[in-house]
Amino acid sequence: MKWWSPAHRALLNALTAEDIVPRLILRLSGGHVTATQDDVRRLRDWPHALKESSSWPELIQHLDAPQFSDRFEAAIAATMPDRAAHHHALLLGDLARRLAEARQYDDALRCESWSKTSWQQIAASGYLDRLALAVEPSSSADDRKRLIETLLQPRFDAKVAELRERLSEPSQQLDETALVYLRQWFDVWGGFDALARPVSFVGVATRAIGAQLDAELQHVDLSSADSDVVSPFRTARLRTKALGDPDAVFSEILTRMIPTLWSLRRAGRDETKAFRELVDEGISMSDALITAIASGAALGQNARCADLFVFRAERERGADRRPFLRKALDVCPGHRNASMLLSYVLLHEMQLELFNAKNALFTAGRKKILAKAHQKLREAELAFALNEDIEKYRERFAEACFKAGIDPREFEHD
Amino acid sequence: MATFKRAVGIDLGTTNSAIAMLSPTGEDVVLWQDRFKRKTFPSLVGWDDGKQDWVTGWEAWNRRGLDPQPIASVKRKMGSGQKLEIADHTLTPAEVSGRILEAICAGSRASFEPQVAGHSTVFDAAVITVPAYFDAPQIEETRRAGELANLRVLSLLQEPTAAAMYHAWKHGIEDGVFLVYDLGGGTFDVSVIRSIHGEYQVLGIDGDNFLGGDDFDRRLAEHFRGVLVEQGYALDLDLNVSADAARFTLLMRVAQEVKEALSTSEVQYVGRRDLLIDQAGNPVTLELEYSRVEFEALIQDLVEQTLTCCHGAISRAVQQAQVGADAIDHILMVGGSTRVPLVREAVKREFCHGQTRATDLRVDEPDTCVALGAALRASTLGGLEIVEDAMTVVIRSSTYTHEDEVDISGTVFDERIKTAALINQAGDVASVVRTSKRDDISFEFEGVRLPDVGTYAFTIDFSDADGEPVVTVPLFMHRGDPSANRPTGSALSSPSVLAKDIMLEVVRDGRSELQPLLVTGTSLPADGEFRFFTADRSGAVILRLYQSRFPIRAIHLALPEGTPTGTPVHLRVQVDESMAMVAEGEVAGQKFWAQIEPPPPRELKDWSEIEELLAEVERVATQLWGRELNHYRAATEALVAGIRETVRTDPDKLQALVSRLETVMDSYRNRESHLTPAWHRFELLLNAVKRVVFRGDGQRQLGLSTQEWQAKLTDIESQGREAYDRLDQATWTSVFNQIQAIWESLAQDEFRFAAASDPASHVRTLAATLSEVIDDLRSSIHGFALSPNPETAELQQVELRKLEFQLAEKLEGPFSELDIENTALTRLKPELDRLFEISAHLRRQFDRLPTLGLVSR
Amino acid sequence: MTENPFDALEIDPKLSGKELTRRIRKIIERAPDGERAKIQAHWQRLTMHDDERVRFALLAHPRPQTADSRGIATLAEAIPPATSPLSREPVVLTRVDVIARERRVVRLDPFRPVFDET
Repeated sequence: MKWWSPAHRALLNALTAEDIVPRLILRLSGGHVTATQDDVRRLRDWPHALKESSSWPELIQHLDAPQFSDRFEAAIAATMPDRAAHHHALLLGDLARRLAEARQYDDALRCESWSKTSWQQIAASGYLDRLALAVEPSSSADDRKRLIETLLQPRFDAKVAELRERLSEPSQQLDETALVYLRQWFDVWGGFDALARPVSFVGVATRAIGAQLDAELQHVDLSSADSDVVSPFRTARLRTKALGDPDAVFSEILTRMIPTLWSLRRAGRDETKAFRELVDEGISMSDALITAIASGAALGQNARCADLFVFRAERERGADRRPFLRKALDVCPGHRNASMLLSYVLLHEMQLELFNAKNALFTAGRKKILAKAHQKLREAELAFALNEDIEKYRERFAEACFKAGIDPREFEHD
Repeated sequence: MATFKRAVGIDLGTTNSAIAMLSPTGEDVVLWQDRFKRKTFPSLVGWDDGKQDWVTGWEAWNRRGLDPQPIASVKRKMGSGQKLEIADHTLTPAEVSGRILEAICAGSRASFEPQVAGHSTVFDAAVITVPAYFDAPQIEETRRAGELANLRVLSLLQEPTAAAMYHAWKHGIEDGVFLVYDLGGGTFDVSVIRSIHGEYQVLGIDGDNFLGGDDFDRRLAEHFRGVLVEQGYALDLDLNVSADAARFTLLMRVAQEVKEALSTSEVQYVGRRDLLIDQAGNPVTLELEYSRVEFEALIQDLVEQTLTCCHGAISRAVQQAQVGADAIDHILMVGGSTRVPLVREAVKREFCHGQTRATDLRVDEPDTCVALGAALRASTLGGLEIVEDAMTVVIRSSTYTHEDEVDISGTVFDERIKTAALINQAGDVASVVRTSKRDDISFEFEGVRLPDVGTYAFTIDFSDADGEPVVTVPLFMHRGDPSANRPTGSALSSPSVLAKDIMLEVVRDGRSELQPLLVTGTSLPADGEFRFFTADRSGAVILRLYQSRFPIRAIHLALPEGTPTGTPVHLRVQVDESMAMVAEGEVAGQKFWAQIEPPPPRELKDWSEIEELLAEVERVATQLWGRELNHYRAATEALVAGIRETVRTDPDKLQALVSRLETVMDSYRNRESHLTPAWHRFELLLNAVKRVVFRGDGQRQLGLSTQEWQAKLTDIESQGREAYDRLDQATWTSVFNQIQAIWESLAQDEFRFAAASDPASHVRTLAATLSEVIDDLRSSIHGFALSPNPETAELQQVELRKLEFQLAEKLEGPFSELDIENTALTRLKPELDRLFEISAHLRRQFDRLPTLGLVSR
Repeated sequence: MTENPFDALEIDPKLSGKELTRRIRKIIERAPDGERAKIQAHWQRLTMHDDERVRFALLAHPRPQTADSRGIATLAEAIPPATSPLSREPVVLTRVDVIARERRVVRLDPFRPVFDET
């Protein structure tokens, strides 16, 4: 109408907002958020901005229908007028926060993702830059660029802080659902670098879990039988699980676990249930740690990782120890304890070969049997030359050769 | 006839004070002058034995040199807890200052009285100025002085801000950045102040409570004394002896006169016959020629100190608002001591040659602009009170404008009043409004037209619900020339800022450090909320607050048994405009609230204690090296020089400098300057790793090429060096662990073929080492120096007893029972390993003692 | 996170720094004592760094003039009459006129003369 003044427009916008804003908020929040008077006042421009969108007639028609959110999603995906997108970026971020507080995580994540789409739109369209210029006409393009690139940084930083805080809660209060939500939050925003420096979710989680573990271990007296050394690691593992088991976190845990195991062993507690439980926890993460070593993320952790396999091997008898020791030597070639243990295992196996073939030493296959035993002896020597038992076993081998009537020197140049 | 009431602004200076008031029309700010047209009032309080009464100001000035000596420079003693003696009277600094305020108010009342159209103008409230660098106790004592003089103290305004406000008001500066250089008799303040759209923000401050023109006088007086001693006079003065103090005061008087004379002349002849009687009873004659050049050489370093402070304030402004020297528009010189030509030249050279936008210094009423600015602030805070028929109407809005339309708003304290009508001089209604009830009854006339330049005489009629008149008051508004903008700032301005950081002692990576809570430059009132976490299970939390490294309050809270580590501690710190501070919060369901008292004044030190402190400064210096030594030197050298100088000339300043030096030394005493493990151990590991990976046997150690190792090790080394230099224990631990792990992994293969050590001798070495470890632990426990803070000491004692018990029970006992010679190695080795593990645990417990009870971030 | 000053004070982020200060000054002068410190802090945050003001503006809901946040009744009152004014001369009331009238707020608006309702 021609004679309409800004005052008319203001009144109409206010009245429209009174009607529409509460319904929109209720729909977008999956029915969980009731608009406050402050929302309605703050968003007086929103319906007006929405009306400029081509999807408005459809949206308003289905405003009270259950599938409204699908239509809304399609509408924002197909781009909105910039001012409306600006409202959405802010409002939906705010709704996500309120929904997360009410533990309505699915709806919160949906709002987050809409908010992100809206931010993306107004960052890419140049709207934010134009607005910044309008607010501060003397600003340079560089200043504005710098400012816009970190616009959402405080929001990201706050999420990082929240993640740290959640990860430092005592195990009995650990809120796994909330942690899962945080992980998904970082998934939604992952790789989005237009308005904030991208944050490495895993990096943050790793440091937080490591620091928490350090703090908890500080109070554990490893020399005392009644100190609980397993719980801190178990809690750390629990936290890691909620975060989707990232490899780097495993390596963070293991780099603390292995020195702890050594301390327990020195304190004479390696026969305990706690020690076994810790080793088992560790083994379940070791593949990840080996990957981390291979990728350079855990340079130098080879020996510690090998230690873990040695501890595990110690629990077995005879040849059952071999796969663990091989793994140890794969990850840390020449690992002293693994080599030593392997050397003994091989000597023992040689002895077993000879013992089992006691009666076959007079048969035609005797040379093959002896060759196999000699192979073990050589491997044992190669694995750990300082093994004091080697001489003893060499004599035993010679003795068997003698019984079989074969010169032991025959095997030396195989 | 109605009475107008305006709050006044008072500059309570070290040597002189002044008082001013904004006129009821807001057109002019009036400075009180006595009947001899003197604009300032000496800050002196004396006792006249003849009249048996107090004398102040000029009367006291005339008694200088007479017995009893009037009390001077009381501002330097504010908040010190000291008592001042004169004749048979003992006074607190607040009482002395109160007498000065009382006298200056009494003197000014008559001259402020008749101002507008026969209505009298009175005051009972004031804004009193304080140096920006004053601490809470000094500010609090200033407030008390005002109350003792029967004043309602509306606010305590920082002096440089007051000066900038007056300047901006007088010259109509709505937007601009000022560097205010305020060198008074006894204090030096510098502030960077921004005027933005007519409001004020303090962006950076710095200063020295014990640096002023008096120091110039003391230097010169001491120089004269030296000349006289050379001439054979007995003048080995001890200022704690009153006869000597009187002799020095007389020398200071001459010095002051010479200083003033040298502001205008190049050479001054000094000839004083029988100036004083020396210690041998001989009359002393001082006769010499003294030049400005000599004087300037004498005070050069003091002037340099002020410039350093200026740069301190500017760098704070950069931090606070990205306002650097190049954004400064005006350099404002305030305070009588800025008359010294060297001061002006030095400031000009430093800031008016392209370093800032200013090309010259601004000097305008250097002695009184602080009082004038305070009067402007007083009018903003107090408004204009109009008293009629025992009813008070307060006009909150300004009564002055340079525009043709104003809003007039105010409050009235009578529930009956429902409407207010603004009536112009012709008796016509200019505006009628309904009052509204908030805290009191308020009214507002919007868009009142003042078409012409000049004074407008309005009346306001207040009526009740039935339209019956309740009261009518006169209101004078002034419209100035359209070009005469007079910005005074409103409630938006934040003229007071925190002068010193408020910090909390926290534990980080096992070491205590100070975490800033509210930083210098935070505008007041300030309110900060923080979250910390318990860091141990000592059963207590100690929140120790510091003001610039000086401990001001410890809050000690006992916690229930078993409160886990990491329990949140909420802390809220509030500081009001006069720097009164409150801390409150909650931990594990316990709430606490504490008023932060001003720190107890440090005990005055006698010379032997001071010498001991100076010797310690030397001692500590020999233990430091590198960058840390440079920092230490920078922090202590000027203080030591100042102490050596002021011991002869200025006992108050001496104590202040000693106290500052003590604070510096405290931070060095408590510092472990080295990280663990030591640097050489890191180097050892690094070199061992290098030997293996750069052996040149073509092997890709741990899967990395030589080039990759080169890059990796260079990186680790620089990370380690940086962490070690920064005393960053967390990073240091992490870097050290990394090189250790690398070494272990490489060493596995390295030593596989090495000769086996002799197991028996290895175990014997282990046993000997363990014995040393136990001895070391025992002597550490016995030699542990408890914290000087009683709360911490109590926690430490409990923990020490536990440690002692465990040492005996778990370590010493089992070790002494071991038969090293006759036990099989296979049994001995594991047992030694076990005991080592216990010793490591006890050592960890012991290492935590210094930070017991502290919270972490 | 602390509240965005533009949202808290319900101010159009596109206002210039000077206009902004003028608006907030008006708000603070009329605010009860207990709320002043908060308003003052908001103003500080908007003016201390230009950058910060722009940042807050980008993080505040657009609030053009037509999105006035005052109450519906106030907005309705602000609507000019549909008929054109007969005279633009200011209406001058005498004290007697006004006090004899009722107790409502009387605005001296040439578009809205005060009619005798009795």
